[in-house]
Amino acid sequence: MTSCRAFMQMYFGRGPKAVIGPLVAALALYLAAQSLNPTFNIAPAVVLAATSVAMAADAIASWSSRAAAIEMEAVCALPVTPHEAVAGYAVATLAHGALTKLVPLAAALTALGVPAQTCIAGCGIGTVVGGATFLGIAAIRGAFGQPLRGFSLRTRRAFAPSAPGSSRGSACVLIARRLMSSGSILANTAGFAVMALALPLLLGDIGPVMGVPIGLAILSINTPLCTVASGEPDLSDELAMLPDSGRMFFIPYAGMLFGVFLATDGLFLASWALAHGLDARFAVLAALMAGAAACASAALERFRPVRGWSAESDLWRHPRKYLVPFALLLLGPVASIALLG
Amino acid sequence: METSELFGISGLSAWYGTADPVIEDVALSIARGEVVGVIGMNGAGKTTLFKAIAGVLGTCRYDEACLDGRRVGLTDRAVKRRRIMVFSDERAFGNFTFLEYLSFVFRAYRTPLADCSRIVQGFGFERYVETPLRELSLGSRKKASLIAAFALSPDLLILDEPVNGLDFESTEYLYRLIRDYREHGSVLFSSHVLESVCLTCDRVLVLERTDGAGRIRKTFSGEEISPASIRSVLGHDEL
Repeated sequence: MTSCRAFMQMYFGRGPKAVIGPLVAALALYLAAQSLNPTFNIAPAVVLAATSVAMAADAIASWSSRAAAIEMEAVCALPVTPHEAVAGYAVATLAHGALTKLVPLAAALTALGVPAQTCIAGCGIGTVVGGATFLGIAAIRGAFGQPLRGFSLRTRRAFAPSAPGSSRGSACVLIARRLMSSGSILANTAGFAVMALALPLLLGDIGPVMGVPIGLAILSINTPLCTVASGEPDLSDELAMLPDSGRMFFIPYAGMLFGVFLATDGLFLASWALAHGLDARFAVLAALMAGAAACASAALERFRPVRGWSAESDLWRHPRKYLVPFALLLLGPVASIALLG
Repeated sequence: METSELFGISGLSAWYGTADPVIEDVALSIARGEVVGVIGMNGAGKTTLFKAIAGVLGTCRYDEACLDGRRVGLTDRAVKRRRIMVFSDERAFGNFTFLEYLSFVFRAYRTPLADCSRIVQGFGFERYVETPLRELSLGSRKKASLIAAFALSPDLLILDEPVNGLDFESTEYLYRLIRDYREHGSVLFSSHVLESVCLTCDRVLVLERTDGAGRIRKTFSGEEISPASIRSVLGHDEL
């Protein structure tokens, strides 16, 4: 189990800190969810969908992690077969997903009144879906690795200018390519889009004045998207070195975040309107909250990038991710009441 | 401080996280048109020193920093426009092609795009100008950064291990560029290749880790500069 140990260390590092963090987060989620004094029913299908999407997203993200690619290269240099390496990676990824996704999710769902057996079944199915997704990607990469790589290069080159004179490096181009080439960002954004559609079913009973801002705050926790600079320490250093990096990079970055948040929030509002009906003024609230989340996330990336992480999972679990949603959670309902009375 | 001084800093200490300082109480002065080399063993704090001077490292303090004899802050935008740093392990902006990267850097410095075809040819980089940087080898990415830095021609070039990853022809060309740069500005660079440093620099600083932190142990200038004298200070036959 050399490979499994290597990947476990990559995900969790040394010592119990990495395990304690998600457990504390789960406890906090449990207490927060229970404080809402839930009085609504969540269909078992929603539980199964949520756990499956969470684990599938984790599996997809694992295959696009740069740290994992380096670790995989190092593991394959050892006397282990490729199958052993992939199996070890699969076990470590599932353990990581279970601890960082399923446990907090199950804690929140239990606090919201979902029966324990439904939660256990959801976790079991989520693990199976995560494992199947992981192995499915491994099989596709094994069978179609070369053609897919060629496609990915062609797609990336499609952005490149054809004539040297037209080459104008802009942050928008850089960020757009970063988004397109990062499976973690794409998977998370897709996951949040699905969550945006499902959240009105969970929050509908609270009512729109409180439920909509809570949902919008939750949808701003798209960690890989909000840590583009932190996720690339070299880029972060270069941006700190360059003059005018605020104008050159962080303002376009905030604009891009605003666009993505607005799209996800739009899905959330549309889903809410279909399920429960909604006042059009909530669109203004969504725009305000998306703007605030985008500006705050870009400012954090500029002035307080996360440093000193060893694996991308450390970065994604960093407590800084909750700062913006927490602020929105406090301010959103106030804005909602002010706007809608 | 001398009137010909371009940049000077005193009492510079820098650290990461809450650990002990990596460099402590470092004083450094660079004259206009001077090439200064920094030599030190691995872990002596060369990269930390360069990052602190370039204003990249938030966790540092200093008594005084001067540019053109005027007191400045290392992160001041006006100071940043007067210098550029090339990092030892260049991996940023991987989604840009070289031409896009060049355009981005020049716009960040609010400088019209300069003709860098001579430097591109010098490094043998012509066929990579439209390749995404992430598809290039370490040496080629280093070349891209070096070309942009030399084409920009700021008053101060800070080059952290610039020959790291370069082929021998490019290494020789780079040393020629550094020697000729005296006409445009000053260069501060680090390297582990003693002989080349000695042939290129007007002054060599030896950074050594003592009492847990990197400090400048000795400065060589003029005829004092030789591989043997530097080795004798470091107490090693080979770096």
